Amino acid sequence: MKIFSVALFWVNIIFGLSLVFCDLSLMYVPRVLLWSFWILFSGSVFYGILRQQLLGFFFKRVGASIIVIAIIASMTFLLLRFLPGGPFDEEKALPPIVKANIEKKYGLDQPLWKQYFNYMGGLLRGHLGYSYKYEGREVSAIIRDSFPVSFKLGFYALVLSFFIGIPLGLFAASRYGTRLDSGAMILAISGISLPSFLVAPILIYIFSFGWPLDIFAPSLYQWLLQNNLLLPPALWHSPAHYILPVVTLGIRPAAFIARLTRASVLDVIQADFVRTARSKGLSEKVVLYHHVLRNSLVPVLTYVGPLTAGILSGSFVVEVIFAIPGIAKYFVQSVFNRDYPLILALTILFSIMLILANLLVDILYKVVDPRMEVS
Amino acid sequence: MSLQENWFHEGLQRLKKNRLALFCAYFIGFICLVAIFAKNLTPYPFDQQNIDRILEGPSHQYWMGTDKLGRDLFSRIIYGSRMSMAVGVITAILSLVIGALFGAISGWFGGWVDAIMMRIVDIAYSIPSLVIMILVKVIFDSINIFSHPELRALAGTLIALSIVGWVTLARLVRGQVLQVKTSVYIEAGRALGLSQWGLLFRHVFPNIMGPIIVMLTFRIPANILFESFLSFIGLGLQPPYSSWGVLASDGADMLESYPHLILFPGAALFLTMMAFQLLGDGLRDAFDPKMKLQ
Repeated sequence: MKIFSVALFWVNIIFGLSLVFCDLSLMYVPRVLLWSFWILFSGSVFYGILRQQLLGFFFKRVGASIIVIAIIASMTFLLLRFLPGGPFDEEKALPPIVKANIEKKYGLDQPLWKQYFNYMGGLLRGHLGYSYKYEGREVSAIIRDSFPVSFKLGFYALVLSFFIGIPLGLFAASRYGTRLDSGAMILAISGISLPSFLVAPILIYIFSFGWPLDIFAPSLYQWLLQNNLLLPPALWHSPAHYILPVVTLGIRPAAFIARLTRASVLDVIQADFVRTARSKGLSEKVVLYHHVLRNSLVPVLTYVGPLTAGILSGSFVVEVIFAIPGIAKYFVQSVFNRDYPLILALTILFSIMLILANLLVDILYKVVDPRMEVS
Repeated sequence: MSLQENWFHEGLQRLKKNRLALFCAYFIGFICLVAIFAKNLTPYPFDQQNIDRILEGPSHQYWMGTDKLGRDLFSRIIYGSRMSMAVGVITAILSLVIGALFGAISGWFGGWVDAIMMRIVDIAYSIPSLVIMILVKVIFDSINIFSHPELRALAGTLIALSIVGWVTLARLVRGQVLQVKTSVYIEAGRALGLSQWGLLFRHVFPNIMGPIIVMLTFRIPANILFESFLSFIGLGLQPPYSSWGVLASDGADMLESYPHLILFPGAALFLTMMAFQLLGDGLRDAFDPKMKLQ
């Protein structure tokens, strides 16, 4: 058992490092960042598994997750059949023979229980089936094309929200009761109250169209235009395209994390060990960063699970607004098209993401605070 | 009972000192009144079209301008408050009833009941909410359960949001029940021979009302936001009814040429969400100082 996890740990580190060097040699900065975070994150997870002997727990949870996914797949399978209309009901009705033939091709003529076992059997062998609507395309191919984009968007937004949220919360808490504190919190509350379909147009207006510079400072606006400093308002070609969508998606979680961090820091700051540290004569900075921050990160970690869920649904709106070729557009379309295999695959994919996030959080708990009882 | 009245009274006193939260409470009260009497307050019927005056800016006649069908935006926003608040409040209450009952039974009875019920919560927690919301919304929009036209327009949204919303509440209530369960007054009640259900409803629930009310205050804006999400992806209320979310997402398309179409509904949405957040903060500080930020 132990050797196995040690091997996993090093394979992961080496794999990650090699990817970093690969991308470094191509001077592809965002991906280097991505992989570096991956190393840090998964490295600490595996480190936690190693140190705390969590391997048994890990496998137990993975086993439970597989059952949960099977249940969710079955439930969704049943729920789909309550959708009014079928996948091949079109406005101009097909001739009955044609329709019967198409249905036969996709196995829709068989009794429901048989269809169910066919699907679950396929799932076990890793077959997600063929899309009904995008003819001749495998569902797995659709996912392979579009999911990486969505994943990148969500991941950057997640990272961004931590990088804004934690410092902002710490800043507010360290100036508790002052104007700066209330200012930071009002900023956070407005961030929570702004729906992304309001944030996105505002950001596009300012950073892509140059408002209000185009009216008040036309020369500056021209300069920005000529030097290509205005951000693209849509699509997903280069890192410059990433900025606006990632910021739009990251604002709400960042605001949540800022509030959470502030509350947690204020909680920890009253603890006895902080008073001890202060009375030892340590500087306020050391106390804040070394003693307080580390101990107040646990509640923030708790939020990673719901955060992932929020980003999954939030990315939907952002992808639509910024015309990002991600997976979100298939969500509504597949439901409207009654494209059963695609809906099922998307549901399963997103459940896996959620379950993984929750599992990682539980392991990270142990890493941050070894006293924590993992259930 | 006097202890509880005291607790309530003290909390109210603390809330009254928080001017910002109090102001937000009044603001929300005002919005609620507007929502209830929306039909009498609108200067024009909310679905009255004036084809000669489409997409006009704010004017003396149309205070907030008109939309692409020539409908008065001010009237539509007033009427939208009715729909948005209905979604927020009714969904919060529905998910509270389901979640609180589920969590309380699970925490109170413990043992295998708890084990099974918590597994169900775990599963529900791993379901991607947006997919289920879309599915449930489409299914229930095709079944007309209610005969009342407004309720019929709302039904799909209400059910879709409640089905997703109860899980967090169930977890919260279970945690609270587990805390209260071991306290001395419950033991005393048991020694006096009260029944399990009597204890649960007479003694446990009143004592965990604080966190529940706070949570409810935070759920309402979250629901309003989710509703606007659904509207944005084309699964909003059934026309001609519209909520702030529907209005704002309609306006988002025409931002550059007609900014008033997103400005006013967006502001209404933003201010209301903010008021709920600030009131929730105030309530939490007043009634439940120890509760962690959710």
